[in-house]
Amino acid sequence: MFSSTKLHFKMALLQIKRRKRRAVLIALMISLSLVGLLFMEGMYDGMMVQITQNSIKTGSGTLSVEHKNFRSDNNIKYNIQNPDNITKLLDHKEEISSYVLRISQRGLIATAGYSKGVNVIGVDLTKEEEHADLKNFLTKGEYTFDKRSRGAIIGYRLARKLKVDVGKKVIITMQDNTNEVVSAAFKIRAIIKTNNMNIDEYGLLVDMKRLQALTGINGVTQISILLHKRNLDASVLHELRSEILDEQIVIYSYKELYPSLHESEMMMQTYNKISTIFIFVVASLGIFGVVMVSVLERVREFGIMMAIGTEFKEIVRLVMYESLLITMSGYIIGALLGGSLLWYFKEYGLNLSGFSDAFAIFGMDSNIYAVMKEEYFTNSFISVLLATLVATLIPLITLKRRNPIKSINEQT
Amino acid sequence: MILLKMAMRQLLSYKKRSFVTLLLSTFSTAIFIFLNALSDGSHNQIIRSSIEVYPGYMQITNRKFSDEPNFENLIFDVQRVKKSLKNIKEIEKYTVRFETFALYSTNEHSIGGMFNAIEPESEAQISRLKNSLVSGEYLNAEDTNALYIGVELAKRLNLKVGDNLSFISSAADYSFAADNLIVKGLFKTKLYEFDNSAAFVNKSYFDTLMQSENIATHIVLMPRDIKEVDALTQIVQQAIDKDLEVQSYKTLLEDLILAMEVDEIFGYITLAIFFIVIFFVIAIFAYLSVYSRIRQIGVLRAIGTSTKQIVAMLLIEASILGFISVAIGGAGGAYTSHYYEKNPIEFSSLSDVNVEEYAKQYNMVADATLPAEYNPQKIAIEMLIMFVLNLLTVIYPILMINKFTPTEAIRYV
Repeated sequence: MFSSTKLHFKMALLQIKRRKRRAVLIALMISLSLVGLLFMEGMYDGMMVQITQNSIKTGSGTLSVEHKNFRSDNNIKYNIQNPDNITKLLDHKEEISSYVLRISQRGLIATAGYSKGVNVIGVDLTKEEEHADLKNFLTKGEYTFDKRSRGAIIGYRLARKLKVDVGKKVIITMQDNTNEVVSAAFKIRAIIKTNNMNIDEYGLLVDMKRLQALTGINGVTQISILLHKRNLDASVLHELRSEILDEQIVIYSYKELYPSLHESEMMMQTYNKISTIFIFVVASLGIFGVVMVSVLERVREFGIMMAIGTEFKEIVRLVMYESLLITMSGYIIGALLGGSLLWYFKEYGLNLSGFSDAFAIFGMDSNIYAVMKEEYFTNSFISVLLATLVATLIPLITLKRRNPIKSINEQT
Repeated sequence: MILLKMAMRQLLSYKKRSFVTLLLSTFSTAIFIFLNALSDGSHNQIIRSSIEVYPGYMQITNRKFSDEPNFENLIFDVQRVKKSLKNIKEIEKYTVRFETFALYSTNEHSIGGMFNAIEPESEAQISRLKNSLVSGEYLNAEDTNALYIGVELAKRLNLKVGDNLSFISSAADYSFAADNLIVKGLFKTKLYEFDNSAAFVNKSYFDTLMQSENIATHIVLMPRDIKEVDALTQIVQQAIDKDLEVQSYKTLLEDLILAMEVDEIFGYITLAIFFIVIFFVIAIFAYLSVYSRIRQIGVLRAIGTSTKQIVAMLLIEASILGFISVAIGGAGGAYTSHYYEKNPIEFSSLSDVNVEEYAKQYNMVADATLPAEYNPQKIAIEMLIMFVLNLLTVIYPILMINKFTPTEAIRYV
């Protein structure tokens, strides 16, 4: 009799209209929860991406090629002596977006009245501009080491501790490749804030060739590689390991170098999933309450419908349509609002510059850009759908047990 | 009294609905209290560890030292300051330090690091240096060229207890100072960068070598009551010379404290999202409860019950549910907070997360435990918030129901 889906929809809509306040409450609950959930997922993932990218870009790269003893001993004598052999291989890999050569040596930095431990990093500024976006991290000064390579760029926290500013001179003392102590003077040309603690707190960037001359090495201590897609790290790592046959050379993925970053990413994904499940399990209780009342107050109505030939499965469909219409309208509103909010924060970021130094401790910028993933919407859609179906099932079972046709007689 | 009876009867006649509301509200209260206790506990532990590892709760320095940390801006009469501090009863202990940098050299390595002089006995009572000993021995007041060095720095210099090394540094009069040292002990504070860069000698030995007799960079104070640190800062500032300044950990670790506050804010955002959905479910149940007896309310109004009495009855119902759930949830949350304050959660029992790697990444002390903080006053406020939230859920149904006239309510289907 009521086989037409259109008719079922019409009836469901009329019923929702009759009890519109309840429907609004449910839709509002779902849409607001969804807005909150999308905001939380997008912003938290955005933070993780920022922390990881800051560490990868200015630190390890997605992959890092080093001498096998350098990481454990940190002695500059453990360097890659023929980087060209490796860079020739890298030039032919399509997955690689860029790579740079670097030298890193720990030493002592001194001003007129104070000294401190420092990590001196030799870089090629032109290549780093493209690779690590270093120029954009400058907070003061010019992006240059001078024509004679006497300039240096200092991490902002180190500069703050040493009380040095652009134009001031610092003296670096460190060990060369024969373990002799060497010193050199550098003029600070710029201050940098990368949110990578290794640079901000302990880093002094100098010209790579000058550092090579100072330390007496021809090679480099690191080749930092960035890939077009971060998730290609395992396959490119595998290829490079089979192609680079020098036993002195090792290649690390950022996951090996920053295990805590990778763990944090995994934990954040689990946390987001648990949050989604928790929110929609609680939401299903709200849906259940409304559907239960809505079904039980219409037992007679359903009894009459069944008495004139409507099958129970059509009643089931009618109740399901009602529930789905309410929850899905909540989902659509929530997804639109939450999606727009995420899009806004993805484009313009959430500016929390008042907490800039606090965020730097966690390796984050003060402007947090949200991430927008398709899975946020699909996961929450499935969750809303499941919550609705589960929450509607129990009232329908209760209705079936009550035997609606019998109820007509009982109540008259 | 009759309103209370009616409210009770109403709650009992819709047992399942009342139970679900009660359950949700109890759960929310318990989780709210416990998560806040856990957040406060872990943040306080991070801050406390960062203070106690080395910096201390209060530091006296030359007023110009923080802007120009050079040998022109030192504390030049330590005995005079000590004399002033002795008269302040709010100070429990204090210790004197001289912090500078040196280049340490072994046969193979030369590495720059912190070269600090301490008074071993008083230092042991203020910081965790002595307790962080992992091999060899801690310093004593008679030590001469004995070095107490961080494990990570020792690893980089390839040193173990009993090994020799030399150092070169600037003395307080800017002359060169150098000597041979013997590693007496290794320490591990679990603050990676500190363990990677710091080494200590006995101050009386340091003074003869570095021309720093009666001179210091810092005097570190331990207050009797940590909560009174702000007041004590003012008292000490009044007692010492004007060219010196005293700063509490709130200034010294400003960034870290701010970072913990930011983390707390994000924790509240997450909780707020969970609470939106819980609040809505309770509100929906309250709405259904009120609307399912709209006819009954119409009859009550028709026989002379005033709107105020109806509102009071509905509020009593919400209050009963709110009170029971807040009491049970509050007790549960408080008990759990108290339990985990005494028995902190072990990270290893939660996951395979490498705590040291995490701490190293964020330059924080690697504590493998997550304690809660049991604060009865704060718990009472949180319970009150939850009770008010429970009452708020019936505001909308009450406002709606009051729009009906008694006849409209009786005819309502």
